[in-house]
Amino acid sequence: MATNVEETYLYSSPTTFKVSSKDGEIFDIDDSFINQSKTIKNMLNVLDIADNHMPIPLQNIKGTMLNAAIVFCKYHKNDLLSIPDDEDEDDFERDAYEPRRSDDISEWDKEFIKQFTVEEGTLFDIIMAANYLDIKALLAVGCKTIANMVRGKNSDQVRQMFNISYDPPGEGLNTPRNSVTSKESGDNQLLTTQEKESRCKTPSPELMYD
Amino acid sequence: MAEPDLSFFDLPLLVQEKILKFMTYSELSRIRIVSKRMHHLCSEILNRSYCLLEPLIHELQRTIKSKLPRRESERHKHPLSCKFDTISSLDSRIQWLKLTFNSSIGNGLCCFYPGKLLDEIYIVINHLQVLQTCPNPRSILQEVRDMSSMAIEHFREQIEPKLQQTRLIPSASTLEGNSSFPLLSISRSTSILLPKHQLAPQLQKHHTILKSSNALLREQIDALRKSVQQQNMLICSKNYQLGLYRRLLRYRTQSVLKQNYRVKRLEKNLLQTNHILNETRQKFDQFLILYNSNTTSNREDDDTTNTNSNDHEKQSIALKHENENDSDDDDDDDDITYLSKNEQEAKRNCFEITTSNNRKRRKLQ
Repeated sequence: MATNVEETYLYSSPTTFKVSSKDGEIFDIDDSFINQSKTIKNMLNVLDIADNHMPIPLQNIKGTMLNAAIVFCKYHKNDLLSIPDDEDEDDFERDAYEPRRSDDISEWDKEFIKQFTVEEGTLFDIIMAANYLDIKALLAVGCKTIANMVRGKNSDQVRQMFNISYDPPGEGLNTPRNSVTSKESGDNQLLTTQEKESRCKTPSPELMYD
Repeated sequence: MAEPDLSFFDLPLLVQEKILKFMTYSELSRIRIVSKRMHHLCSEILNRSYCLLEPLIHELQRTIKSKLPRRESERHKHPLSCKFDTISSLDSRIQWLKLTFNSSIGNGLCCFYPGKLLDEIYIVINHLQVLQTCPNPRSILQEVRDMSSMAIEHFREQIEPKLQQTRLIPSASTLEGNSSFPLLSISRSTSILLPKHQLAPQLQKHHTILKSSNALLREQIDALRKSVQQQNMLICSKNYQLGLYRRLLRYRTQSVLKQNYRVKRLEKNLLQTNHILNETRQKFDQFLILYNSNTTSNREDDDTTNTNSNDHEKQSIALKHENENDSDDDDDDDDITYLSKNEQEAKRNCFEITTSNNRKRRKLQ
């Protein structure tokens, strides 16, 4: 098979390549990065770059993010064999079997991801970079971190954290009690409905009327 | 130039789903309140996981059943029998939930909101998949049983009445509620949606009017249905009567046709008798003329000289008449059979007159 031959070529040649970020920074990447980033791996296979002094442009990624990704890949270069290379990783049926847990992040990863915060917008940036480069381990760590951050937060805090502009729910049942729009509109009936809903112990449906 | 901070919805859809994948179903159910797009995303995942439950359980049931012995007595002793019982009772729970939630979820009116129950069910499924033997099925399913009955009760008491009310408003809500594609609402702003929000009291008023008129309409429909039934019965009886009248009409037309035929025959006979009568009248007139001429000539001439010749002539004439009459009588006898009584009498009278005339003439001679 052609891909296997190419992969063996990549594995057998411990050579470095150069990549340039969005802001013009140039980084050296080695096997650890190439093998973990599917995008770079496919790019090298398809383009067949002979001159390794010419940097590969990665216009979607900032220099800081690219550097962080390279650091992450260097640390996890030995985890490569333990990660299954599944094609249908996004298979929902298979996901349903798996327990939905986000607390299985290693200590090093926790410390690594701490430098990125949602407030500064860098956590989403590193996730975007991981998604673009297709580094599954980094993407999983980022997603799990966000999932952990959401846990136990109320809707306003989640909205603030995710930088979500609040879409007015109209007369829907999911109108939050402390929402600005509800206060402005002075729709008391809706507020009481919402209060009733929030008092229910069991989760309530949120119907979208508008 | 400082770039704007990324928001959750700036991430690709796959990444958004990946983040939500690491949250529990109860979390997903809780954070639906954050925004509309979040609601769509979470509802979709909750519904998808709920819909996947039944095939998952059936598959698990099938695999365990294949490992169990066929004989019932042996099956009870088998270590997997406990596992099989647990799955069967879980399946029955899912069927209960299906009966309650499926129609509303299918119509896009709500999602499968009891996320904690979904978490608990998936924990049980994972247990059943991972563990070779199962602990007591009662203990493992206790939480699922309690939560499912609570969810069903809550849905019937709190949600179903609200859903029935919402069904009466066939506005754009259904369109928006069904649109599970979150990108559609990306460009929405508060300024666009505020007028919609102001429409709420009007819609509610409209809703109450509809609700009150609904009962009236139902009564009217019942009354109309009854009258339609009565009309149908009436139509049935009329149809039967119509059939009877049709048969009677056919019978009458047949008899009328027979009568017509008879009338035609009688007309024909009448014409024949008239013709005969005319002939006899003509002959009688000729005879009278002849008779009158004879009497006048007898008075003028000698009585004796011409008597022989006249007698001879008269006799010959009389003989002729007799022969003719005889032939006519024969004809008349034939005709009488086809004529009515009056006509026959008229004909007889006529015949008598002619015979009496003949007799008088003979006497005179």
